[in-house]
Amino acid sequence: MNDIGARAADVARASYGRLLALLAARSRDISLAEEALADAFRLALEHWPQTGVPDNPEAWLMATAKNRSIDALRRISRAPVETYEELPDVIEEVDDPQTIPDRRLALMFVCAHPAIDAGVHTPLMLQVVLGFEAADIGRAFLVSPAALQQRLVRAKRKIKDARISFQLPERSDMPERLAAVLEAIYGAYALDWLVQDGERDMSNEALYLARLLAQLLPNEPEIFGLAALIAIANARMHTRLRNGALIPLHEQDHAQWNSMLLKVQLPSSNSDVSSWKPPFSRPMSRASRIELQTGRKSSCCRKRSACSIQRQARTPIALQRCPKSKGLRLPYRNLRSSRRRLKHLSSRWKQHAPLS
Amino acid sequence: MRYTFLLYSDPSAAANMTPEDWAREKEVYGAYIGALQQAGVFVDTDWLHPVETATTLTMENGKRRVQDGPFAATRETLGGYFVIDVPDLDAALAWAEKCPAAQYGKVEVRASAMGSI
Repeated sequence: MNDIGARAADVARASYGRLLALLAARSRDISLAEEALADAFRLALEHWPQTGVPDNPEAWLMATAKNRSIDALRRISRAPVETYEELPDVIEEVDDPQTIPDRRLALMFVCAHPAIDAGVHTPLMLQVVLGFEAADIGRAFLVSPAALQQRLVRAKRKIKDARISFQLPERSDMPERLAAVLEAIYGAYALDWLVQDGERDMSNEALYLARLLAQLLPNEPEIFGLAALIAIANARMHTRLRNGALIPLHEQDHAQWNSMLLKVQLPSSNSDVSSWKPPFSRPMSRASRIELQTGRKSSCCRKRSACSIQRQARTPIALQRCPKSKGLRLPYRNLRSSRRRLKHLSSRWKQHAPLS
Repeated sequence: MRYTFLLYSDPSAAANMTPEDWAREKEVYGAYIGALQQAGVFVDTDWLHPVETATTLTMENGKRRVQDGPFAATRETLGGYFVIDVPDLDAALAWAEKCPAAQYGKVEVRASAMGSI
């Protein structure tokens, strides 16, 4: 049973967002899709111990969730049921670069629609697409989970009742929604930042989504900066903790850094980094000051040493030096307000990682 | 002469309505529509999703601004209406953007709730 439970948990981790995005796109009803998918996972835990895990667990979950949705729609006799019948049983990968290659990204852009309360764009993506609990998101955004939950419910209802399109926005409309999408990707990374191997770990997902997004919008330097930041910080995953305590960057064993992640290739960029303007700037927060102070104190950051790229990524340093800082909002806002640093990071990254 | 009735009510009253209440409500409105039709005075009617599902658009100052929520009235007051039939909110917003009133005021967009219960 434990094995089955673990297998179901694996599938949930790997596929939840994808399955939900496909289901929700058909009914345009996120709450309904969430309920149907939760039912499907519950049924999997009931059935799989007897029947064994199916060869394609995603297809099983998809078919089950689809049936649950059709049942639910029949019960409330509302939306046309046939919308579900054409839902594919397998999750196809789309190769056309003009379409969003991952349905999750499409759903994230839906969550950032300007007709939805702007303050809930990022929490909505984190909950609906990236599978975080409202309680964790509330803590990160410094709002009470109950209040956040209420706003999330309202946003989902608005999407359904106002018939917000699940089609991808035009490319020209994407930049205005981009900040919230980037914040959610960074949030997925930051919320699980201290998680060790074997536990739930969204950092690789965050890197995957950031790279996909870079492919989709090659003129947006901020995406490249974010992808680079996550890759570089992830490279240090195994060296940042010793006996549960955080280790400052300059005391970490550099040989243990994941060199593959430092060389991750990004799609070629047409972006002119010098023209990049930060979306907004704000007064430096306390965390930002700590970050800069620790950055100065760190010998690694001061010396012109070989680890030139790591020098640039100081937001994670701030977190390492300041373990009490749990807010995902603070670090990313800091990052965005530090225009010069991010520009530098972006250009360094491009020099370092030869573009394919 | 054509007249438009603008129907106002307290949404909190609707929150506690049971399916039976809704069925009765539909009957009452059905009878009223029937009476208007019989008298040959009926033009059109619609029932809208609640105000918190509204989206407001303006082109004031030449820039398209879309926001969540109803138009909070200040000096402007209701001056007219259009009913259009399009697939989704983005299509509706695209037409709202072209509406002359958007140039100097605000257009509140709300979906029809017909058929949702």
